[in-house]
Amino acid sequence: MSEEAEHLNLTNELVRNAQTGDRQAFERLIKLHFQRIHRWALIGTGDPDDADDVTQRVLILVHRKLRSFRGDAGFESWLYRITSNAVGELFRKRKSRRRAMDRYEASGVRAEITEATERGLAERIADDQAAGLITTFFEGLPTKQREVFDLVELQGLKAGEVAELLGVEASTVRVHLLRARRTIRSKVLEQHPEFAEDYR
Amino acid sequence: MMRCEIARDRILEADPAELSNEVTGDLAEHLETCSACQALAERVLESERTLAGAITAMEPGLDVDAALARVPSGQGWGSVWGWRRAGLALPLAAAAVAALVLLKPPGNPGQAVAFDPSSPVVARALGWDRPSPVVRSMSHASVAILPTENPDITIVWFMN
Repeated sequence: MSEEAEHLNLTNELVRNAQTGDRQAFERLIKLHFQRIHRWALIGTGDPDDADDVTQRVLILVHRKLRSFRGDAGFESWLYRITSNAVGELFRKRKSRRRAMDRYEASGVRAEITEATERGLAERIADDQAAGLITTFFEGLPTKQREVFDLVELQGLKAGEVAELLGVEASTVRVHLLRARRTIRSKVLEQHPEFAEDYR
Repeated sequence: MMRCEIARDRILEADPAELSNEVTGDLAEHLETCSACQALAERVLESERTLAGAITAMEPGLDVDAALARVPSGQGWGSVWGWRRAGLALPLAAAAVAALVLLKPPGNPGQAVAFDPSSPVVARALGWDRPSPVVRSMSHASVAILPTENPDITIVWFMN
């Protein structure tokens, strides 16, 4: 059995047990998906503190709503929708996107992006720099485009898989992906005017 | 032979496999022969690798065990609503009892007046800061909105 199939089987078993009130199963289920929830929250909010808030909120919502999950769609799709809704709820309540932008622009992180890209040593980038990179690359990108770009381009999922996860058509995923690529890569070009020189 | 301007535009939307010459095609052919466009393609790929690394490096500031500790114990919907019902039942019962006891006319022991949350007497008896405003709905019913200490619970009281 593939690792992916094992993961799916384990998830389904834990969901069933957690739905009967098994707290341990619920906690194992959350631990299995915690990083994923946080990543979705981070991509959705673009801000590490907001991502933590959303993650906490999602845990409470999953606990509250798990009994209503009937398995018509996959658990991950259901989890994704809860996370996505929690991100929307956060934005509606706190308008935090602007706050996140201000925070990183004020810290001067934006100017460090070129240098960080030159190094290409992402694993050594401090949290603030990483957060600044994420914010700057994703700035101005609609949430759906950010999500699709992360899932397809950075995590390597297929358009069909992402379509199922997001509950949209595969063609819609491809449109979002192309738009996201164009926006993000245009920013790379802006950071490197020497490439524009070559085309004069 | 593809022109550089066209190649540059294609690079903005191309699949990473095309940019890294893993697949064949007219863009790949151009990149093989044009060092400037190839450098741009490499820069794009490097930026995306950096972005991917930055996202991966962003560990949750939240410890999973600490986060789970904040999730209420009990069993999903049933217990959540049970908890909410329990939380709601107490103030409602207290309000009803207080209203019946306090508003019972002294000269007529068998008859109580209707509970009126807009009355200062009721507000004082229930420990509210001020009487609840009562609005008239389109169906001519009076509606009182009563906040509680729990931000998730608001009592909507319909009166004929």
